[in-house]
Amino acid sequence: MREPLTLDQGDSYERPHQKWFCGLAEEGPPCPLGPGAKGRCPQAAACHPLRVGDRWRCNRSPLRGGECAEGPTPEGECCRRYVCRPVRSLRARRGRFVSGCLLATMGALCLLLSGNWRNEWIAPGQLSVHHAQLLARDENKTNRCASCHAAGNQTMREWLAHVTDPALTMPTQSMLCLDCHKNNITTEFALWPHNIDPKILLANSEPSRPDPDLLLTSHSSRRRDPTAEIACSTCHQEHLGPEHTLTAISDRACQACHREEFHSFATDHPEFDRWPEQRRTRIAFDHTSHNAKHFPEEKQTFACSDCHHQDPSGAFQETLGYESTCANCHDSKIQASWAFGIAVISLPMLDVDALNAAGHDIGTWPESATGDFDGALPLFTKLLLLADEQAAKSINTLGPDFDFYDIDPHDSAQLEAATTIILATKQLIAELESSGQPTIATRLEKLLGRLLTPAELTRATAHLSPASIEILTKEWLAEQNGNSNSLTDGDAGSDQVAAGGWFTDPVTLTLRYRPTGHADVFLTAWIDMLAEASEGQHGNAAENMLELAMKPTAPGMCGSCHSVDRLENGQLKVNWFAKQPTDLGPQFTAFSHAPHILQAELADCNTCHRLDQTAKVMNTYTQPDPYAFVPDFHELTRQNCAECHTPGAAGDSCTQCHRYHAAGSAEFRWRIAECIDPWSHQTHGFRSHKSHKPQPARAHRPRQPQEPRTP
Amino acid sequence: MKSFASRRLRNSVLTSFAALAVVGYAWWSTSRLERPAFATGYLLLTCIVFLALYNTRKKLPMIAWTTSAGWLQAHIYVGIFSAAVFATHIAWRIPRGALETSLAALYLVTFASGLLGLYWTRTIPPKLARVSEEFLYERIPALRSQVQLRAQQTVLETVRATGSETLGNFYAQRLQGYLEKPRGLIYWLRPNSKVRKRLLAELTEVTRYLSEPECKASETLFALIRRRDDLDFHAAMQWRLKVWLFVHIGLTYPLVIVACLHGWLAHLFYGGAL
Repeated sequence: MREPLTLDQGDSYERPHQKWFCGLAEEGPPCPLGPGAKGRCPQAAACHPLRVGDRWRCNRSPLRGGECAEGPTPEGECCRRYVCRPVRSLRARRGRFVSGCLLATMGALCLLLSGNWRNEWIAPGQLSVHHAQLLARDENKTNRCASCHAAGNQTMREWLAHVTDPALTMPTQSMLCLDCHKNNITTEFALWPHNIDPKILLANSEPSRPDPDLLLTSHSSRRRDPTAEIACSTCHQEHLGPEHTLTAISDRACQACHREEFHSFATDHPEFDRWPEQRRTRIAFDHTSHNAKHFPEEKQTFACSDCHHQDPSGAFQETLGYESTCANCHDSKIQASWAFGIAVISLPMLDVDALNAAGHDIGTWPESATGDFDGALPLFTKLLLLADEQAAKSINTLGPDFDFYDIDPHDSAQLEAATTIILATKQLIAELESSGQPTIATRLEKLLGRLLTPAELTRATAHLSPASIEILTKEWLAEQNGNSNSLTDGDAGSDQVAAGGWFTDPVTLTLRYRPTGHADVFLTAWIDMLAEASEGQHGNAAENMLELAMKPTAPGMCGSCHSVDRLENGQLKVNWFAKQPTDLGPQFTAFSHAPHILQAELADCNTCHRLDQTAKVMNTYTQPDPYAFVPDFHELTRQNCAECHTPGAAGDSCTQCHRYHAAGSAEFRWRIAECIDPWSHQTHGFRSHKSHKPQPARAHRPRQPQEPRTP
Repeated sequence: MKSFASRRLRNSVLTSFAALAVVGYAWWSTSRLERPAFATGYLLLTCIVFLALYNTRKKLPMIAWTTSAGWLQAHIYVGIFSAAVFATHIAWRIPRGALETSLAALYLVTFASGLLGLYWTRTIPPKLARVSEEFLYERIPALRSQVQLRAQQTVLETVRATGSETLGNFYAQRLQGYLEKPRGLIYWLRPNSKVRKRLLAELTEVTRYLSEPECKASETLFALIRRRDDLDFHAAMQWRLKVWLFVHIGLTYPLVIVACLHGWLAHLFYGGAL
C-alpha cells in the first residue's frame, strides 16, 4: 500500500470575511501583508534591508526563504517586491451579487409600477369571461381595474396617501359591484344574507323560536353570524381565469350560516315539504275526474302534452290557453250562460203606492215597473252606487245581495233604504246621460281610491254609448212613458248583438251587455274591480258581490274555473291565468324541466307527477286561501331526486337546486316580507325544512291594519 | 443535553403542529366566509423576514439572540413551516397574475435552494471527510500549483539522474496537462474518479518499463495524482457548498421587497369589501 503524500499547506491563516485576498495565493504563498481594505496591492518588499556599516544586508525571514542571493539595492531597498492583482473573496463577491439582485429588483419594480402596463402587471390573474367581455374591450381596457377597485386608476402618490386618507378607499368593492348589478339586486339590501332582512330570514328558518330578538343572537352553533353582511367577493371570486364560473359556490359556503350540515343530499337533506306545488292551481281543474270521467265520455285521450308545453326557456311547463284546451267542451255552456246578456242597469218592480204611503217620493217611475216589489239591482249598478255614501249605507242596510222582492212594505227602514237606492239609481242614470262614461270612471275611482287608466276605463265601459242611456231616461223614466223604439224582444236583442255589445230590454227595463266571448274584457274588468274593492271601505259589500259574480251559475261561469285568492292585505284576487313562469319571481329553490325530460325514463310526466285518485281537489276552491289545499298529484319526495342526484352522477351540490340571490329584487323581497309573518310563525310557501308534518288547512286570517313597509 | 435525534423529533413535531394549525385556521376561516389570505399573508411575510435575518445577524449584533447553530435550527424549521403557510396562502392553487407568479417563483426558488443547501450541507462534509486530508477552499489553488511543481521537479530530477526518458515522456504526454489545467465543467457539476483511475492505471502499465530510481519517482507521481484528484474533489464539493448561497441569499431580499409590495397592493385593491 502506497503511503499518502503529505505536503506542507503553509502557515498562513485565511480569513474568509476579508474582502480581498492576495493574488499570489493562486500560485503559491501570498505576500505577508496582503491587500489593503480597498483591494489595493501594497507592493510590499520581501524585507527591510539592514545597514551594516556602509553596506545593506538582506533581512528576509528564514520562513520565507532567508537571505536572498541578489541582496538589497545600493540605495538600501529590497530587490524583491510582492506585486499582485488582489482577488475579491468569495464572500465579498456574494455580497456584491446580492446587492446587485436587490438593486435590479427595485429598479424593475419602479419601472413596472410607473409604466403603462402597471395594472396589467399587478393583476392577480385574468378576469372571467363574464366580466372580461365587458371590461376588456378597447374603450374600457384602460380603466377596467377601476370598475371594481377604487385604487385601480389612482396614482402612486394617491396609493401612498391611503395611509392618511381613508376616503381614498371609497367606494368599496361591493358598492362598485352594485353599480352594474343594481338592476338585479336592490342596493340597500344587497349585502344582507340572501338580500333579506336577517330578522325575517331567521324567523323563516327557525319558526319555533319565540323571541325574534333571540334569533339575532342565536348563532353560536353556526360558523358565521347569519346577521353579518356579506361582501360580493366573498363568494364571487374573480381573477381565477376565463373559464372560472363566478357563480360556482361550494357547499361549505352555504353551510357557513346554515345550522344543519348536509354531507349528502340523499341521506342528510330534509324531506321535501309540499313539492312541487305549494299552493293550489290557479285554474280549478280536477285532473282525476277529467282523466277518469270527462275525457272518456267525450272519447278523448287525456294526455299531459295536450294542455302543457315546455316554455322557450325549457325550465317551465306552461299551461296552454283556453281556446286550445277547454273551449271544445266548455264554450257552449259559457255562451249559453249569457244568452240573454248581462244586466248592467235595471229598473226593478217597485210598490210605488207603499212608498208614497210611507212618505217616500221617488218621482217618476215607469208604469210597467210598478207593482209589488221585485227584481234585483245588477252587480254593476250596486258597485257604482257604493260610491254614493247614502246609497252605500242603504245597500248595507238591505244587504249587499238584497233583492227588492225581499223588501217588507210595512218596514219603514227598508222602505227608506229602498227609496234611497232608487233615487241613487236614478241619479246615476241621470249622470250617465249628462256626463256619459266619465261618470263610471269617477265613481270607480272614488270606490277604489285610485285613478283609472284609460285602458281600464275602456274595458269597464265597453264602448257604452249615450244612446243606450237615453233610452233609460227619455223613454223609461220620462214623465209620459211612450213606446220604446228599442227592441221589444229581449231574445231578439241579444241575438242581434251575438258578437257582443249593448242592448236594452224594454220588458224588464234593463240595459244589458252581451259579452264577446270567453275572457270578455268588460266582464273581467268589473270582476277585477270587485276584487280590488274587497280591500277598501266597502270591502264586505264588494266581497259579497264578487261571490255572486263568481258563482258557477253566474253569467260567464267564471267562478267554475278561475279561483279567487285572498292576498295578505285582505284583498281578493281572481286568477285569470294558470301559473306563469314569472308568477313567483325568483325562488330559493329552482327547477328546470328541460334537463330532466331529456332522460328517457323521465319523459313520461307520470313518472314524477302521479295522480292522487282520492284527492278531493275541488273542495279546496270553496275558500280563498290558496295555501290550504289538497294537491291532486302525490308530492315528490327527496328519494325521487336522490336516485340521480348523487355526487358521482347528476351532482348534489346546494346551488344545483337552491339560489342564494332568490330575493334579490325589491319586489320579491317584499313578497317574502309579506308572506312571512315572523311573529306568528306562519309562512306561506317558504316553510322550514324541519316542518315535515302536513300542515292543516288554515282559516282566513283576520284582516289587520297594515303596518308601514319599512325595511 | 438532548441528543440530536430527540431535538430533531421535537422540532419536527412542533413544526408539523404549527403547520397543521395554520391549515386548520384557513379551513375554519374559509368556512366562515372570511378571508384567511390576509392572516396567512402576514404570517408568511413574518416568516420570510425572520428567515432573512439569519443572514443579517452577523451584521446586527443586537439580534444575535442565540448561537449560530440555534439560528440555523430556527432558520430550517421556520423555513419548512413557511412552505405550509405559503401553500395555504395561495389556497393550493397556482398563481395566475404576473406579479403573483413572480413572487411565488421567487419564494419557491429560494425555498428550493434552501432545501438543496440543507441537503448538501448534510451530505457533502462526510464525503469530504473520507478524503485523505482537509483542504481550505481558499488554499486549493496554491496547493494545486504545489503539486504540479513537485511532480515536475520529481520527473526532472529522475531524468537527470537516470538518463532514461520513459518517465519524462509519460509525464509530458499524460500527466502534465492534467496537473496544470483546471478540471472541466462536467467534473465540477458531477465529480468522479474516472480520470484519476485511468491515469493511475496507465502509470502502473508504464512501471514495468522503469528502472528502480524511476520506480521510486513513479511512487511519488502516484501520490501526487491522488492528491491532485483529492484537491479537485474538495474544490468541486466546497464550491457547491458556497455557490448555493448565491442563489439563496441573492433571492431573499428581492423576495422580501416583492412580498411587501404584494401585501401593500392587496390592501389597496381590497378596498373594503363591504
